[in-house]
Amino acid sequence: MLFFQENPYALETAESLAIRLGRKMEHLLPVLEQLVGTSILESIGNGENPIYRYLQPEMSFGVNLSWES
Amino acid sequence: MGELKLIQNLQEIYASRTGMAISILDKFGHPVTETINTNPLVQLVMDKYDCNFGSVIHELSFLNKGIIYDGLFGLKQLFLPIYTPNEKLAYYIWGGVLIEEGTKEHILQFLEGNGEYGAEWIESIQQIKEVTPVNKEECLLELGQMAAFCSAIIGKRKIEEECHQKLQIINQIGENTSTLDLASLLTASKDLDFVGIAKSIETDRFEVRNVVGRDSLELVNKTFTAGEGFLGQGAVRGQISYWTNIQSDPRTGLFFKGTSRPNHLFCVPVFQNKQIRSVLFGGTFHAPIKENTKQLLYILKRVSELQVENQHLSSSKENLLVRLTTLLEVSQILTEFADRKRILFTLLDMSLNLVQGPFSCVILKGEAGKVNVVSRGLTSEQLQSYGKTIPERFFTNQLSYSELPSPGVYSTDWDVQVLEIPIMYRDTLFGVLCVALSDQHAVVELQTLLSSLVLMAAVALHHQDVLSGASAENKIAKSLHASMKQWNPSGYTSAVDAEKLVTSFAKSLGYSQGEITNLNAASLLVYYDAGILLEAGIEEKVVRIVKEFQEQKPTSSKAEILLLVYQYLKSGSVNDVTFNCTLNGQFKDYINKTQLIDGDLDFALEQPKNHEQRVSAILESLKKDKLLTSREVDVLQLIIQGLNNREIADQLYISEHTVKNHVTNIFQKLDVQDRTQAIAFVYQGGQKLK
Repeated sequence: MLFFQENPYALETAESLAIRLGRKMEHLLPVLEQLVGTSILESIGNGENPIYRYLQPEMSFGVNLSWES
Repeated sequence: MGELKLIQNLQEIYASRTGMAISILDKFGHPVTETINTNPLVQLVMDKYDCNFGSVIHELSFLNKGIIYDGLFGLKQLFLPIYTPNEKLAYYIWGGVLIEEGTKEHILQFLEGNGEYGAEWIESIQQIKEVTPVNKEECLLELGQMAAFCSAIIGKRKIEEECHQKLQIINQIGENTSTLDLASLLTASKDLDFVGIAKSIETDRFEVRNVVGRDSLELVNKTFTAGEGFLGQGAVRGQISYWTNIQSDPRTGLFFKGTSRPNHLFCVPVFQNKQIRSVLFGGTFHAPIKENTKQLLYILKRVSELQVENQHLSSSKENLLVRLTTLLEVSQILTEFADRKRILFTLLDMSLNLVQGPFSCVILKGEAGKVNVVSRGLTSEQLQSYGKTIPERFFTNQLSYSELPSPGVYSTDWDVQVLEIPIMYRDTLFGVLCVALSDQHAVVELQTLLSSLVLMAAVALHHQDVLSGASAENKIAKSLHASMKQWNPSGYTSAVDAEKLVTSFAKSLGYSQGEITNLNAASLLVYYDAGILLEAGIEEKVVRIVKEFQEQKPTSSKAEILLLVYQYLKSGSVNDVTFNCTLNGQFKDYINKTQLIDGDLDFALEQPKNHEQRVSAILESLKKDKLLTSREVDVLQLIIQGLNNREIADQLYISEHTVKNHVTNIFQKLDVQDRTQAIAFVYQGGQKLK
């Protein structure tokens, strides 16, 4: 997750991430699944090597939540 | 030394004391030691029995103490049993051959009239001295003593064997084996007929996982609840329990359907974190459970609990280590981010990933009664419903620092528990982190971790504000500058122009955001007295730059930049920038470059392609001549377009760190000092600067 925070526009497969981060695929896959489950990452593609990308959170500026200063 | 060796030594001693031949027989009548103190008659007797007293032993199977046996035609032999501590027969002592006083003549007459026994018998008997009845009894007593000593030796060995087996069981648990070896426990216990283990499968429900021993196989997979039957009661009591004479007790219902109905039972509950994780049980079908077995069970229970606790502590330690490492990495990233958005995203994503709840959001104080929200998993309706409570509870101006709510759990309208942690640095409240919980039990542990994350984010946000000029000091600088509009409009305008040029020139020199912020503030305040600025609360660093500018005695490059910029703006021509300092040449090059670009744009209106083509051709030649790699050329092209490192990273989908590496390599390969020189290198057709 920290990798995608530093590189928010990165598009990586699990294999390329494993090489970049110096981790094993079998350790990385459950973590990626968890991040996809919490909608922090998106998995693109249905094959064996989907591509993962970072999903930006929803941002709302100047929202009026009925707060009186 | 082996037990038989010891017994052999005893044998020698008592053979010497009694004058008898002594041999040790096993329980089947075979000699297991050498016969000591033998003589021709003893040899003949041994040969007669073919060294196998089995037939005699068989007759004496009821024997529980020593006797004098009248064997062959009145020749007396002694047989004494040796028992183990648990009263099992181990060996026999054989002693012989005695001829009682007054019987020798009768024996010799019998032999002379009996052709079965040869002359050697008569000769050997004639050599034996007769013994009195008192001597006979004394021999029996002596050998009785020897039997007692032999029992003690065998008993000691048995005890050592049992202790060794029990220690092995305890070591097994200590070495963290995944399951207790029940078979070894059964062997070590000696008196138990079966042992088994039941694991907790739900709260207050247990399932028998494994049983070893006689008639116990049908128990596997049977379940019981806490309080049900003897085992359930043992689990509820929470300590080792024993039951005796329960064979006909209906509470043995767990065992009832099988062939086994224990008469004596034990139950040992094993705890982890004050909860029962498993139940060790076992028993006997007939004899009661012995004290040393009970002691072993107690030791097993304590060692097992210590082992479980040790595993739990190791696991907790691992978790804490992982979390600490994560916190360190996150803190590093938060301090590196020069972007408020990235800080908030990191806080949001880390909190959601840690808690794994339905949503997470950061609600920040905004201007004029509004808020800024960054969220995941919240719908707009939920945001309105829950979000409006945050300003009411946290952002009300009336609340002092000490009155602000501390981190706690809040329940939403749709019954979701939310952990709320204010994002505060010193007395500045930035906003609130709100993380929906999935597991109420983990609140305390998570709150500590999330509070640490929030604190780091607050520090990073404050640092961001300082860098971007949103800090209090920079607001004062901007206010002072704004006031110049009224009493020095031309100075106001000059300061605005100076600020822009200072920013772009400082960026081209690679100054950090913090340094640029200070320079900007100084460029706006050059018309103010340094003392007044200090009193107004302007940072000393900024005031020093202003003072050096005003005295025209720069000791730092920042003051030099101000002097050069203002001189240029005043004169309107770069040739009139005469202030003598180290940055003079770089400033002129920079201005020339910016002017050159403006010029080219005008020229490019008529011939737009030539300039671009020229630059492209130069870059291509750099690639072709292998002066720069393809990637380095891409980076250089973007430098020429005026992009900073972060913008280049975004364009090329690489990290900023990688961009910095490329830039360093480009400077080294082109033998230039900075971006300005690199750009000039390209514009001069790839020629090295003088």
